[in-house]
Amino acid sequence: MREEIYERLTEVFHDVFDDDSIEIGDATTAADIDGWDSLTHISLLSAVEDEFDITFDMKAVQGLKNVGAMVDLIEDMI
Amino acid sequence: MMSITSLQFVVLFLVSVGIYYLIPGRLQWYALIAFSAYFFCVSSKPVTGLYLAASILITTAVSTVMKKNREGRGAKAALIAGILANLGILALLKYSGFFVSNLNAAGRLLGGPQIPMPSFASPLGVSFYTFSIVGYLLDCYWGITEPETNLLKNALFAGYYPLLTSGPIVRHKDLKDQLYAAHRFDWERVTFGLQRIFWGIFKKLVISARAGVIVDTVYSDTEAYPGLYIWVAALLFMVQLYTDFSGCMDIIIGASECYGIILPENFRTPFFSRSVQEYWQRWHITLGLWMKDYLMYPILRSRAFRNMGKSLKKSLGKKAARQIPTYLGMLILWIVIGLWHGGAWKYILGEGMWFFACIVLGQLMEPVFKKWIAALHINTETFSWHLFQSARVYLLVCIGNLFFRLNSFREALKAMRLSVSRFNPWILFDGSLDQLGLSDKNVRVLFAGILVLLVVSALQEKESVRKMIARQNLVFRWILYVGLIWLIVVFGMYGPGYDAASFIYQQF
Repeated sequence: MREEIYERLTEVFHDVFDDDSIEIGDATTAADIDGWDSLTHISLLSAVEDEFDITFDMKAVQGLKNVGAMVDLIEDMI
Repeated sequence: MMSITSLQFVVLFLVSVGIYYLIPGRLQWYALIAFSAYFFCVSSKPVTGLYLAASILITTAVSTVMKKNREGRGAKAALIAGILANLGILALLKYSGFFVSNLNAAGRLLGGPQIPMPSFASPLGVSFYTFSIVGYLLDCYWGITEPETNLLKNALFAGYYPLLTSGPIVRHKDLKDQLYAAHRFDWERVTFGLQRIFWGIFKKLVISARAGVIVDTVYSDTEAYPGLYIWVAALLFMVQLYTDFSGCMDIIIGASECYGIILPENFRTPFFSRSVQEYWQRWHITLGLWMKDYLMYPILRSRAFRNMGKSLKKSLGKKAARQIPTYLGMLILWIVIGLWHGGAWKYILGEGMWFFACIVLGQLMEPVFKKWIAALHINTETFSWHLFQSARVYLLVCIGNLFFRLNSFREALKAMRLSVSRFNPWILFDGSLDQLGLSDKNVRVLFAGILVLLVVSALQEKESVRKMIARQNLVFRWILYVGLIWLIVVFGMYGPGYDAASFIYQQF
């Protein structure tokens, strides 16, 4: 389940940041990825929402600490 | 009017700290309310406290409704009512003049009637506490913080006096566990706080007050001081503004630290930024974060903007679908930032639109710049390149701040024209700078002060300077403290000639 989420999520990251070399893991944060600033953050979340057909609430939008937390949340919601 | 750089304030503050740690811990936050009420009454017209009281009452009522029904229509209606009421008070106090003057301008063109200009006395810190309250209400609605139904607790959140001079804009979730808790006396924390207060006073009285004299002289008559004078004034105004605002923050954050309450930082050595965008992430940080969390994110996440993105993706492709809604959101954001600084077109056009243009053009041009850098074989990881980038940011910010400082949009444009109308570089060397209201000795003190600031800032980029000092021997530490206080006493500009009482950001 988690692996499958990671697979799909990696695709989303590649698409949003236009970079197929990005590798993500639980500890990945915005600081690790070139171009992940507060504005692309919203594009990223929208793309993730579209991919998994979920909606993040504002608490999640503001509070996600790293990719691991994002995957936890996706796991809960799908 | 009591200034936080006055001896009166420092003495009263020390007394308040004494009282704070002598009374039982559970009473401490009541004491903070009392100190805040006192500070408010001696710092602004007591009657304007009614506006603050109204905001606190409304906020408590809305919090109570939200607590009772977390989900559902009741909470949303209460949220909207609470935001409209708070922003309504702010709009009445700060923007009714702007609104009426534009209405009258339209009236003159169309031959309509003229409305008398309204004028309201604003309570201290209204722009700052209103934003903190609006953020708090949204956080309650989003489940980020708990609605607080205790009127006095809300009164302290909105009216905690260190926040009233110039912010920072705070978040309820960061303060709720600190503001009302019991704090034990902690020697290290109190000395850290006091150090910070004196560092702030140094910035304000030794550097800012001096820079302000030159800036005022040049800007009061730009025709008499054309060419390089205007450049000098524009460059020095940034020094003045930074040492004024960040010095004020040092005093406020330091004072609050003495009570054991840690406030968010508002500055992170902004002049070392490599881009205008980065500059705004390091200058007035809490305003930028507020705008991001409560304006930008809700706009970009709104259905309208997401649908726009989707339809653009089909017609213009992926990149445009991301960029266009983002830039549109940023346009709204920068108009609001301009307006927040004051109801005047110079803020909207000169501050808002200028920085919007700098950031968007910077991003759009980035691929071109990257090509140039590659073609010219520039190593971007060198000190010289960083220096070039920071100098570029400084200059762009100076241009925006011409509008901030001068009285009108037209005057700022005139200053720009005059700044290139005359070629007079010799004023830097022939003693002309000593004729701008400051004696030659004072000019030297100013530049020495700026040098000290630069060194401390450069150290700060690496590590907390206070921790560095704390590691030193007792004797050396005390030499530093006494030296700093001595510098303030000897070189501080205070007294009737210099208006040390006012902070530039206090008017917002």
